[in-house]
Amino acid sequence: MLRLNNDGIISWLLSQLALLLAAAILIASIASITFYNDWQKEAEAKRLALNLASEIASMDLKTYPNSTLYWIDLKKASIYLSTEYVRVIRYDGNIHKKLFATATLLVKPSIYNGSVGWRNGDDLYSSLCQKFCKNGDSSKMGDAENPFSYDEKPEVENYIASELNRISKELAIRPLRIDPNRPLYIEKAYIYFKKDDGTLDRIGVLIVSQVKT
Amino acid sequence: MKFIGDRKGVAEEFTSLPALIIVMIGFALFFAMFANVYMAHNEKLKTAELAEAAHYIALKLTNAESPLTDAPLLINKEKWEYMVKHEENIRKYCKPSSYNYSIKISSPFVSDFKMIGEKAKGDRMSVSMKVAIKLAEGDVKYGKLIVTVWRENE
Repeated sequence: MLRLNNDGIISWLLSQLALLLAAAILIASIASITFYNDWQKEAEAKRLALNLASEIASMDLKTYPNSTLYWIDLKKASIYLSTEYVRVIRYDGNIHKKLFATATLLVKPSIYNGSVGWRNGDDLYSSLCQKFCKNGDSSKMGDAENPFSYDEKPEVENYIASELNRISKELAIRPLRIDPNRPLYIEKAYIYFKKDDGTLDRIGVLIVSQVKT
Repeated sequence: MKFIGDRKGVAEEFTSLPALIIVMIGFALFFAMFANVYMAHNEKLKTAELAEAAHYIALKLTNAESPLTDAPLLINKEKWEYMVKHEENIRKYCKPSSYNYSIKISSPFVSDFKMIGEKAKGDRMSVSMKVAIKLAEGDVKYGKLIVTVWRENE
């Protein structure tokens, strides 16, 4: 600094203070971006949402009756499932209090929330029997041992479609809150129809529910 | 020229101005790199989601229950021709929400397969699968099923 007398000291001091303040703000912002950001937590939440969505989609692609249990490894998050989206909310962010991650479901499953939906394939078959069984000799209808007849297919398809519609509307208003300590049960169940020549035709139903204990 | 030799009251604050400029450029480059990495990551996530949707549709349309096939990966030409006119059957069978798709067949042996679906709008992703095509009883050729997916708000 070129000072030959004390005439310019106050302006020099002020400008030095301003420089110091600007440098401190810059360094603090860089430090907060690198060390205090929430990107890792957001990425973990997004990973969980995408994983769950692809688990449900890959169960839908199976061409034989199949079921799986899906365990959730992010214990502190709230997970909301509807027929269109899965939403993961974390409450331990540094900068923002809540961190959201959403994934779109590629296929609309039937989700059991206590009042609509089916808990598993057997539940589906019993409710089909309650609706369609005429003589009431077996309690399940539509599985491989008790197939429907082929001309009942449009009626059954309409029933399934209207049930899925009802489940969609109900879960759009109130998405199912998933408990991360219990696994999620995903099943692809088939409803069989017997044709006149003895072969079986079938339609698939994707069922998602949370295991009781 | 007397003011050059006058040495009274010279107070210069910004002798470090060139150094300051270099440091500010450094900061600006650093922030630009950060922003770029963040936005590139988000773009990659969106592309990966689109790719997964395309893959799902391709697999679903080529399994045994699809209205286009007689057997897994065997596309029936008559069913395809029927579906060109009655697209809603395919949409009923496979409709991922918020995505729209179109499918076509490309093969060196057949050239008259029409595209099912409309032209893509916006960002799109294509996935192709090798399939067998049944032209008539006993006449089976190979080709590729190409599925193009794009986002669409309903």
